[in-house]
Amino acid sequence: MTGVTSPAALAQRRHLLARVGRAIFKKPGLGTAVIYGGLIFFFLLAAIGPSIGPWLQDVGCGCGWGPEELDPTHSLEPMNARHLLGTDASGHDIFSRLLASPRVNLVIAFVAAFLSVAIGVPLGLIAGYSVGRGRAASLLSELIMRAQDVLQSFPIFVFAMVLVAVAGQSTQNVIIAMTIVNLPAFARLARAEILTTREQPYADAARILGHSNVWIIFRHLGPNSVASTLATMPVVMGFVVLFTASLSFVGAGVPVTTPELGGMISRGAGNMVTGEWWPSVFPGIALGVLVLTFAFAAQDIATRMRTVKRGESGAIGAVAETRAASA
Amino acid sequence: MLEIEGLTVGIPHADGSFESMIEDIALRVDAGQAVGLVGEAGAGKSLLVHAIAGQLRPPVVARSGTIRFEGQDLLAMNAEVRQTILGRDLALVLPGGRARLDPLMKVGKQIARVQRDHDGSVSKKVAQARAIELLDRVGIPDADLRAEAYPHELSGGMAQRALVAMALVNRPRFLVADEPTSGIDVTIQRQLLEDFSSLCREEHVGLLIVTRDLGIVAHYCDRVAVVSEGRIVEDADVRTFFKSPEHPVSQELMRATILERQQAAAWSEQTGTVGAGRS
Amino acid sequence: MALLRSPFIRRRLFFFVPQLLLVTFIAFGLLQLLPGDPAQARAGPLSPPAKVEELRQERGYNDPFVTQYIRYVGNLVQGDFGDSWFTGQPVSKDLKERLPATIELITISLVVALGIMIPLGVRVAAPKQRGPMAVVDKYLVRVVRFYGLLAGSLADFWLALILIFIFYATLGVSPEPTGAFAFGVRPPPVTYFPFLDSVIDLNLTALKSYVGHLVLPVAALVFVYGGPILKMVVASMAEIRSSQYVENAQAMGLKSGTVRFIQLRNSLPPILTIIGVIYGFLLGGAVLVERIFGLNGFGNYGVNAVLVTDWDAAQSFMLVAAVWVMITYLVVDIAHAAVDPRVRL
Repeated sequence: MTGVTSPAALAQRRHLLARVGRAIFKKPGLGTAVIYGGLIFFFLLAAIGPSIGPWLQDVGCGCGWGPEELDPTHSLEPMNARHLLGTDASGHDIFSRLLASPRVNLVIAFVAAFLSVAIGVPLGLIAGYSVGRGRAASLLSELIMRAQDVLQSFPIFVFAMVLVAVAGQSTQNVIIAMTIVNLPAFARLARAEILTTREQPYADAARILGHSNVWIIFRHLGPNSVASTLATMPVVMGFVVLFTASLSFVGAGVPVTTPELGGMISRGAGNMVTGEWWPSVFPGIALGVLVLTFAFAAQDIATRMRTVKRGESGAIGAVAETRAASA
Repeated sequence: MLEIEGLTVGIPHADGSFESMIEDIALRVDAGQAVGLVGEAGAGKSLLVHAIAGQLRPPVVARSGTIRFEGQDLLAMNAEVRQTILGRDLALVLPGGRARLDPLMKVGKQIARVQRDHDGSVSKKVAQARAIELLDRVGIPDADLRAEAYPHELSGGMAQRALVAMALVNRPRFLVADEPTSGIDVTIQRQLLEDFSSLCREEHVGLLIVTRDLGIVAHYCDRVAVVSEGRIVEDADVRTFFKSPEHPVSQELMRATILERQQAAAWSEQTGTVGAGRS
Repeated sequence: MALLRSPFIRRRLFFFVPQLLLVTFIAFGLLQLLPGDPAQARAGPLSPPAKVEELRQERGYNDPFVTQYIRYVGNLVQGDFGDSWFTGQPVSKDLKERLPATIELITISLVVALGIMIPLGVRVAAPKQRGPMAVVDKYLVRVVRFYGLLAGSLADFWLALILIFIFYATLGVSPEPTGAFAFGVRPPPVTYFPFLDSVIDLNLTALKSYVGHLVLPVAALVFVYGGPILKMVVASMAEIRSSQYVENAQAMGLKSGTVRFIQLRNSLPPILTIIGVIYGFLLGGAVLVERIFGLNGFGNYGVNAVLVTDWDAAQSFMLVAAVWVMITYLVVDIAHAAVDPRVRL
């Protein structure tokens, strides 16, 4: 092992994510196209979904409705030309509402995942870096991790319900609850990662050069530690979408009037027993496809990252072997 | 005793082409003979050992050739029959030390298991005593205590010696040793190799030592085969070989060994310690 | 017990009580934040202010936080979880009636999931390369991979609804989703475990009814939560299969049974962990499935308590669920140490 790693090597490691991105574009394939096409589709829906219904109404095709518009005289209608996917018990047009729903789910998923990363990752980095660096630092690390242990042992569903109950039903409060619920996972991942990266030669090099701990953590080790943490973000976003839907299902999520997939399933739940399946089944399928798209993307990114990493160590291994052979 | 003929191993591709990793290898080791197989990293030595152990994993397959042990083709026989030969008549010492031992079982028991799996009539007690005897023989101090240790409680060198003990437990007639002494102290290394050597001379065990260290070959082998890029490029009597290595790869290996020995000597002079022997 | 000599297990047991205390503290502290006046809620919205004030004094709601907390822990030690104003019973009695049903539901689900997923995972981790089953295995691998992702993407409550729609509303082969028993066949509660009670009562009708009512909820839970177990079995077995020590065991000519045993035992720790995580989660996490099938269990109790701001009940729910998780993790760690000597340090 050499003592100092060249800046070039540092840069190479740091841009692991960028190279994963490039790998995606380099070898697209049909599967990849479907996965990322699906993601783009859902993002588009999040952007313009709520206006598609009214727009259809404006152009006069006779099938578009506002997502919160009621048509009580036509409640629980099966699929027809006026209501493409039928209506629910209170007369909402399921098609228009379905197009509008992903916005809330995706906004919550993105903001909550982003916030959990923004808070959890630094906590984990500090906790991991502090291990074994003097008594006070070790104690700090222990405290952060043990607190998260206890936080994680609580039943997260009712925990989130209580958080929403305390703060009131709103999108914002659901985001806060989801952030708190997901924080520990990111902290854990980041901590585990930095425990390995801090043993790398460039960490020693930075210390020898006299950089401060904060600088080393966030400038040198942090960027090299977060790659695999960030790769799990799609999984967590999928989880948040599911979880938000579950909260709405018991009426403890976003306000009932807001179009949201879990809320839609919940509204139709009672009708399911009597045979009117459409109010629940369509949002459920949409929910499944949405989360599955995230899961596929996460798996794809993880695979590509492994390949990129393996290529890297392979190259290093080859160099080492050449050196050993020529020595 | 062990005859390899025309062995070609590699990966068949969907388009019908074949990417060979070792090609047309021929090698013969007789009873009581010690042959050294040398070559650079990645030359295909370990793949050959895998082929002998019947451990080619897809997509890697043997396309042609035979590996005959006492007349029977190891490649052609089914797995159950091969299983009765491996570890009993033909034993292998694989490199890797601790990683080769089951982390959840005490070392003595693991060695005893190798004996009992091949001969159900051996009692646990007898097998355990035999395991301790062998641990002692490969130079592990307090063998009876060490037999009760888990692999993670052993040093790398000790684990490697336990692997040797495991290979010897059924008194094999043929021994394939892939880097058998990596990570072991030079003194113990010598003792182990002397032991192999005497098995070879006195009990007529056939010996195939796979190594990068020509020093070992020079001391303990009768013949040497040099592998490069999947082919045997030189196969000669040890005396002839060291007098005048013919192939450029052989010459390069020779230079590397001499240089390494000099560096090791210089290092031990500076620090006053005997460095752990490298493979 | 050799395990008790393990430093790891000693450390683990030593920290267990402080951890429990921390859990009680959080459960207590968090619920203090609930909106609304507990005395008012308990007395009912129409009670005169004097009555509410009296109740407040009586229950000590005005005392400082620390005093209330100490009293709370003291009561817990004596088995007093407070009273639920919603059910009008002591919470401990509520728990005794609700907890067993949920424990039974999730235990049966877990056992079924393990019975399916472990053999399937073992098979998929080592697909046959040759022979007539090779093609079957090839497709099995793909199906399992897709299922792993799908299981993590489906909402359990939605799946439960779909099952009800298909098997109850459409095909009519399943009983109505309104509880653990058909109307009028519930056996007298002794242990409150529906299965045990049916057996104690020697009541075959009740037992049949119970099993019938349990098929769909168990199927929903197994489908959703069996996914991660299956994924872990496949990943762990595949990793161990290609390990150097398994290779060595094969090179030593060990019997194939012995080799399989080495593989299975070594891939056990991560599988145990995921099982523990899921079992711990399910006690409080099977809520929605419980609700949909009308199983009046523990999770349902907790959700209702939060919805009607029933303080003592919600607090106890959190506490019991968290303690359940911690005990599960402790058991997993002990099992882990029993399997793996490296953990015992």
